[in-house]
Amino acid sequence: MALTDGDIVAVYTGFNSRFTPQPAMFGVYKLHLASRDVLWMSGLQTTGISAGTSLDKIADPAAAGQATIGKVVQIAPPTVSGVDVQEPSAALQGIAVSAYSRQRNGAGAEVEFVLVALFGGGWYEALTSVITVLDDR
Amino acid sequence: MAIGAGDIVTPSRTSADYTTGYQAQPLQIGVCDAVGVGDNRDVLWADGRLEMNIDEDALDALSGGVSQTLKLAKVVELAINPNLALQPSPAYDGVVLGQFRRNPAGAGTLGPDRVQVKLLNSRAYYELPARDANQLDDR
Repeated sequence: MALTDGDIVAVYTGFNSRFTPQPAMFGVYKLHLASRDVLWMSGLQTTGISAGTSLDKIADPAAAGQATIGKVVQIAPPTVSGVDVQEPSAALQGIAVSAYSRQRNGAGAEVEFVLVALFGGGWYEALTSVITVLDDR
Repeated sequence: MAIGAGDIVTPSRTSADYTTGYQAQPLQIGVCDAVGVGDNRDVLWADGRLEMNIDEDALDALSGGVSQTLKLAKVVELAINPNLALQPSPAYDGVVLGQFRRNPAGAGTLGPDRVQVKLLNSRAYYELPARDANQLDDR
């Protein structure tokens, strides 16, 4: 499988969790006369993208990711073998506003993310596995 | 080695004259979409812009940090004041958003771990060597 017309896509950015100046830009993919084109939700159209691997296909996540939407969440530090577990920092809490999976070039493994609007400003796209829902909030 | 298609890149910030890590915006990330003639690289930035024919000397390839990490998602103090007699100010603490290494022009020489920090008391960002970001255990 690879990307097909009408797929919702985002730019492949490689990192598994990353802070972003704005939510990941989504667009609609179209293969037009052998040219990979994307009409982004901002209205900008990018034409002539050379490699399908520069794009991720966006899809709905599994239930665990969906369940975070609209809740206050905590982004947890990674666990490191042989090192004491670190307390999560209150500096990385926010509202989970969206959840989705990324699949590079529409092929291969799907990786699930939650998009968090941080209380301190800015956005964080985090692996679902590092998100904890704060039940009472 | 050079920057190749599929590499994650960011604008280079290697300068002999400007070494301070302050920046007004988070790290700008893109993917090298194509290798052009000579040093030319096409980069698809995360906001969807496709910029053609960027000289690869203006780009750094990014790789994950070596020590992933006791600092990611934790609050740190920035030990950056060149006057070592001064204590870092708690007003200048920040939270670590990412840890990575830069490879200037993809030339094969990965630098030391660096962290991107969002300052807690202002809407500003700092990129600095990970060794200069001191983790505050209880935060």
